[in-house]
Amino acid sequence: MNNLERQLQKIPTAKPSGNLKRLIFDCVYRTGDSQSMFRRHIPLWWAAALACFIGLAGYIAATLHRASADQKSVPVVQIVPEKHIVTSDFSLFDYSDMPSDSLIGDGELVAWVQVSEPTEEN
Amino acid sequence: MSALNRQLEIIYDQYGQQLFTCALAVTRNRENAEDAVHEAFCKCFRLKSIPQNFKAYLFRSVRNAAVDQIRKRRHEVVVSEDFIFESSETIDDKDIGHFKQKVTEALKLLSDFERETIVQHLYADLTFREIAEIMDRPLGTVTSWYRRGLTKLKRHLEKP
Repeated sequence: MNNLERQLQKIPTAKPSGNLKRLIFDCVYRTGDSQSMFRRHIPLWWAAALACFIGLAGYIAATLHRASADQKSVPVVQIVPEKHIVTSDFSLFDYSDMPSDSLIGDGELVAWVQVSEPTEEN
Repeated sequence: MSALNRQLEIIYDQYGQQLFTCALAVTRNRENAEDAVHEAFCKCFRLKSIPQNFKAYLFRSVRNAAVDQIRKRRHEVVVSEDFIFESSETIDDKDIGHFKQKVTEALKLLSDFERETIVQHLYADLTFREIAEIMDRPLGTVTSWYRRGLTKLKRHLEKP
């Protein structure tokens, strides 16, 4: 280092105001910490998001299942002369003499089954 | 406060003055220089970890922020008469006060790169290699800026 450089270094440089440090580190509390807190707890945020997703998926699945079960529980009534009724005690009886209105909605109806005409093979 | 923030506070205590001087060399205005340092630190708080060669990273961030400051406030900046130095009233030594005035005038004659290199090397204690990294220029270019700037300064200061 030559003489001129040494002389130049003797001139005191301006100092930043004392407030600058406070302002910078106030900024940490306003922005830095909140962001680093988010970053620090990323696994937790992911776990919470995953739990929400699983919960939502479960809810949707349960709703769909219930809806399809409700749909299934509605008997599709097709009255054709060859059909018989399966009652809750699984007995079959011929409805051909009964009026069709009386067969629906009495709580005993489980399904309609078609009983094939006995063939020679059977 | 997190470990990173504590580390940044230590770094501020260590380099705050030099960072401010470097920013002042670019902006030539105290308020803008302080804003540049503030902005660079706020950017550092968003880092996930301390980058390699953090000193150069920080000085580069401050320089970039200072350049942004002068671009944004080109028309409203009041240039400080004392440049990077303490104001004359606060310097007790009369000889140094007079020398400071001559140096301030001489620094105005230098190109931006020459002036910045001299300030960074003499007043921020940065090595030429660090300056080259900060300014993203080859080492040879930086040293030639410095030598050329110093020669111009010397010539001006030798004038009666």
